Amino acid sequence: MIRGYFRTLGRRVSPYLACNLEFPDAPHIGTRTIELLVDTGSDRTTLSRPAAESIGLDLATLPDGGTSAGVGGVSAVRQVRVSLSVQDFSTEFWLRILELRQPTPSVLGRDFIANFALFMEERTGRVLFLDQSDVDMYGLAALGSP
Amino acid sequence: MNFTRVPYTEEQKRKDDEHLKDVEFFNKNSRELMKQYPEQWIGILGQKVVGAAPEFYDLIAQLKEKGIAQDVVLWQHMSEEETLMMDVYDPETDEWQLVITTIRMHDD
Repeated sequence: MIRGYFRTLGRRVSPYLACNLEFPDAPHIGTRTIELLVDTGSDRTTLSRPAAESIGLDLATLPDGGTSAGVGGVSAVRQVRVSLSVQDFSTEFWLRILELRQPTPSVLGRDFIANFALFMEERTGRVLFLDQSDVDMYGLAALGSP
Repeated sequence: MNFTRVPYTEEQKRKDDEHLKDVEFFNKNSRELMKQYPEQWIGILGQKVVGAAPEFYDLIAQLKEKGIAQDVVLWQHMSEEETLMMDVYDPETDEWQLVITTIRMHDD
C-alpha cells in the first residue's frame, strides 16, 4: 500500500503523492522528491517545466516527445528516462515534460494509477494506492460487483 | 509500468514523515498564507515559510542561495486561480490532446 495525502488551499482540496525521481541519463541530479497531483483525468504522468528545471533538468538536452495541442495552445513535450520510487515500490518509464512555462501542476496519471486500486476519502484524509495483496487482504475483489 | 518492490528505508520514512508535517502545516495555515503572500510562490520546509517570490524561478533561486534547493520543499502558488490540465481523447483524429485551462476559485 502506498499512502498519499490531501493538500488544502482555501476550499480547494487536492490529492498528492510525493515521489522520488532519479534520472539514469542525468545521474548528477541524484534523487529528487517531487509532489505529483493525483489526476485520474490525465492519461500519462507528466512533469511541469518549472518542476523539471527546479531539479536541474535541462530541457534543451532532452529528446523530443512531440507536441500536445489544447485550449492553452500548442506545447512541445520533452521526455526523459526516469526511475520513480515511492515508499516500497519502484518503476522505470519515459516521463513527459511540458515545455510550457505556465505553472501547471506535475501530475500522476493513469499510467501509474492503473496499477493499483485507488482509494480516496477527503473526510478522513486518506489517499491510498492498494496493490493486489491489499485488495485480497481486505476482500475488495467483489466490491461493487452485482 | 512494471513495478518492483524495494526496501522502504528508515531514512526514507523519516523524510516522508517530515514532508507530511510540512503538508499538515500548509493545510492548517493556507488561508492565512494566502492573505500574507497573495499571488506569490512560497516554499515551506520545517513547518515554516523559507522563501517567497512573485515568480517561481525567483523562489528557486532563493532556495538555492539558502542551500536548501535539494531538500523536499513544499512549494505552492498562493493564487485563487488554478491551472488545470487533462488529456482528452479526440475521436475524429484518434489522438489524445492536452487541454490546459485556468479556473478561478472564490473562497467565500
